[in-house]
Amino acid sequence: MPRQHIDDGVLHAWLDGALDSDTGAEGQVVARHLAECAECRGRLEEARASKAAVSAMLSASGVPVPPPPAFATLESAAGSKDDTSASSTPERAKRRSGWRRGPRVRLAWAATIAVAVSAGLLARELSDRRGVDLPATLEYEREAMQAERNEQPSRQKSEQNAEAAAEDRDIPGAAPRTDADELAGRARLEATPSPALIAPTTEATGCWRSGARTPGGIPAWLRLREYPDPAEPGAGRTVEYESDVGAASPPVAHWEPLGADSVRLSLPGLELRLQVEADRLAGTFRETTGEGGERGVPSGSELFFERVPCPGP
Amino acid sequence: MSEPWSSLYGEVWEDLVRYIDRRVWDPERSQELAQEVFIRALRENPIPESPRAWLFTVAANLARDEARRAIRGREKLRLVRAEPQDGAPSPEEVLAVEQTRERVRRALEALNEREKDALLMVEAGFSYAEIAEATGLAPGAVGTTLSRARRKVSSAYAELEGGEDAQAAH
Repeated sequence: MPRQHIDDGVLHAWLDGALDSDTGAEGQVVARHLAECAECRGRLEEARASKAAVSAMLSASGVPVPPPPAFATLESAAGSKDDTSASSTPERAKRRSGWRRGPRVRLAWAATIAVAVSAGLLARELSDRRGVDLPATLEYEREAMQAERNEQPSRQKSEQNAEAAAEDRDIPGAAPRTDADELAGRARLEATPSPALIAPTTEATGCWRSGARTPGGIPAWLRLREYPDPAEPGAGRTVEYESDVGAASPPVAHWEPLGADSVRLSLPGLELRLQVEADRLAGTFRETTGEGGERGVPSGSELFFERVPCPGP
Repeated sequence: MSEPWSSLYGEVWEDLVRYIDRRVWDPERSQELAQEVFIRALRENPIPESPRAWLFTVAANLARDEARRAIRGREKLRLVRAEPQDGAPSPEEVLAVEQTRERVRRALEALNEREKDALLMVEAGFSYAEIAEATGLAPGAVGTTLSRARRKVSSAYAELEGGEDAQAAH
């Protein structure tokens, strides 16, 4: 008769195959004991049933996972750090030129666009302020937003220098926090990059209007301005924008290519993932603001923009 | 810096997305976060000792942050969703899947973070040694933790199933 029964943890380790490979001796002890002890065999079966039930439960909760995007798109998104490594084997050089060649044009395009942004998140806000009747496809719980705004009056922030300094590619999506007021109320944050960062020498080359009548679309407005001579095509860029509703918040947006034809656009408190097509930007929206001041737009909200003629100055 | 990540990429993708999805319960967002994990991996220098375990640890951390944000934002506004695409499952199927997912989500809430980490990692095929390293559990304690986690989850799940069946009967 065995002196000591096997505890549940060891039974699970046995079932999970952890004993053979990790502690061979213990595995043998367990095997011998199980051969002799009906009680532990019974408990082993219970443990087996429990393990199987949990596996079944978890796999029932799994949704189909589409294949991943090409690895090269991630390499390109990971971006400039790659350049700092000393390695430069032929294989490596080949790989790099391989993935750079295709997307070069678009990457360059993306990188040279500093973003002037206006995210008209609240179409109704826009209507209120400007008497413009935009279709609202989001059903806001307006009172909650209003209350939130009242609780958190706009604060002056002077993060511009910090943001300018933080023109880095190491913190993806690290959009600065912003006020609830800014979150809800900036119906039209029209964008003009600040000369402090880089002086635009061209007119806006891309203006985009959201597909606001599409179910799931978010009324928004983007103006993209192109800059000459980007130092590093493919890298993210932090730019400033101006708001026509006051200058209370850090007017910063970050345009970061995620691959050959997609970008992440980070604004105060929100982030857009956009596929870049010839006359269309399509993607998803999510908020990035953490504690205090989130807008409450669900991740994955879909939206797209269509190219429109840029309005005059 | 491409290796070992490029060879792990296809290998772990599905497990990684599911692993994240079981924390954030948003498949599309989970895919984005999985990409984010690899982007961070490509920037990681030096290469971690256990690259695969590193990926899942970073994924767990990103997912935790994400889940916290998602809970806060959920109730403030409703979005008119895009039309379902052709070939998409019927509303009934969608509902059934959503019910199962909701039940599993709630059953997993019976666990503390460490138990959840250990359970989801073992389901993703990690060894006890890797789980110990990622969670900080003593190697000898992984089995005990898993035994407890499995018991808690399966009984919570059974209770939820029972509760819903009882409701449906009324």
